[in-house]
Amino acid sequence: MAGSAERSVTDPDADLVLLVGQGDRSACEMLVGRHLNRVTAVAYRVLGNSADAEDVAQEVFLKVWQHAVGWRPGQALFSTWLHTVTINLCRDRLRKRRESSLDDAGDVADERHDAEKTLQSSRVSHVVDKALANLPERQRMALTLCHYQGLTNIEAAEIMEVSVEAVESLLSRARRSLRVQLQDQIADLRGEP
Amino acid sequence: MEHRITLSRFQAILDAYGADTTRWPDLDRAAAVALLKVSAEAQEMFAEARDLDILLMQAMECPPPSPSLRNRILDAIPFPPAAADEAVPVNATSVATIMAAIPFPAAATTAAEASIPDTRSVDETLVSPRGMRWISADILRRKALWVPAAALAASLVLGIVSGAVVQHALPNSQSPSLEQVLSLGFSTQTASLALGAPADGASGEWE
Repeated sequence: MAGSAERSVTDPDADLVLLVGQGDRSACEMLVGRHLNRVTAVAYRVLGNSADAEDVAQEVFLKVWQHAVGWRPGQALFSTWLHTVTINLCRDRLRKRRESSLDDAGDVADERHDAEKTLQSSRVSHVVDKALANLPERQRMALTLCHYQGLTNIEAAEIMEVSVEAVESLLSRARRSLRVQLQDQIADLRGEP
Repeated sequence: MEHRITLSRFQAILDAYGADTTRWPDLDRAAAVALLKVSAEAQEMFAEARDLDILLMQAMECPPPSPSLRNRILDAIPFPPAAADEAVPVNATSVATIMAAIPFPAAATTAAEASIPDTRSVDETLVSPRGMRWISADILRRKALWVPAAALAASLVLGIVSGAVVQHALPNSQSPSLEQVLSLGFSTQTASLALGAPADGASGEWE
């Protein structure tokens, strides 16, 4: 499995997770406080709106509570496991969107952009957000994990349950697509006409 | 032997990871940086990747979670009730109930016993095989058993109250406190200590 070479790294969450497994409310509060922003940010990047991202965050921490009792430190970093659960829940949610034929990810993202257009202070930010939202689901996940969450390709591969090479391929395709979508902004950035 | 990479591989690295060298694969980083220093082509590729990174940085702001989210999450988690809430409250009624259930020897003397004048000395009574009448001559004269019963009851009440106080003062005494854990935290758990992880994450498969 990718990432096994990093298993000797101390997990800063291990003690807290063990306490959560014993039903310790204070430990649970601390764990939520430590990871809530990160979990919500990942879900927001993947799902494209705050309401869904917060629902996913709530589900994620409920799963933490349910599974903490069986947690065994050493096999996986808790943060990696947390990202895996988050990504999987996002994936389930995206699938339900498709199954209900409401829209595809792009349309949902468009709704988000419409709703938040007035909140966007920067035209460039809006365009970049839209370009990201237009990426295929897996490319967006890989980019979210590696670029925005700062995870390694090994960690992202483990979370997405694919090979490191597959992550690299997803990232490459994502950035290529973004470069095409954002060519006007790139030209502006360079001062080109 | 020194690891070298081609321009093609250098481009592939930039395509995947962008211009932030800290994101480059460990295996290739040193060679890629070395190539960047000497190759004008590599520097041009690098500049293009950096431009895209700059744009992507502008989309980084995610709205913070709403202030109520944390409490919403904690409210949804079915924490067990606090240990103190499970303790039986000790009050006069509960003590009386407990006392009533204990089969103490009858304290009342029979009419026949009451009619017999007690002429023995205190010393005699103390060593008498008839019972534990060891407190005072008055008590002995009345042939009452309420004193040992009361002593037993007092010890019972003391035990209940002590137990309640200790339980209240030391909730979750089987577990280390959060402060203890935090003082230990970030410490020595390593891969060699244990194996295994939560059974699953969420359902679903990649399409």
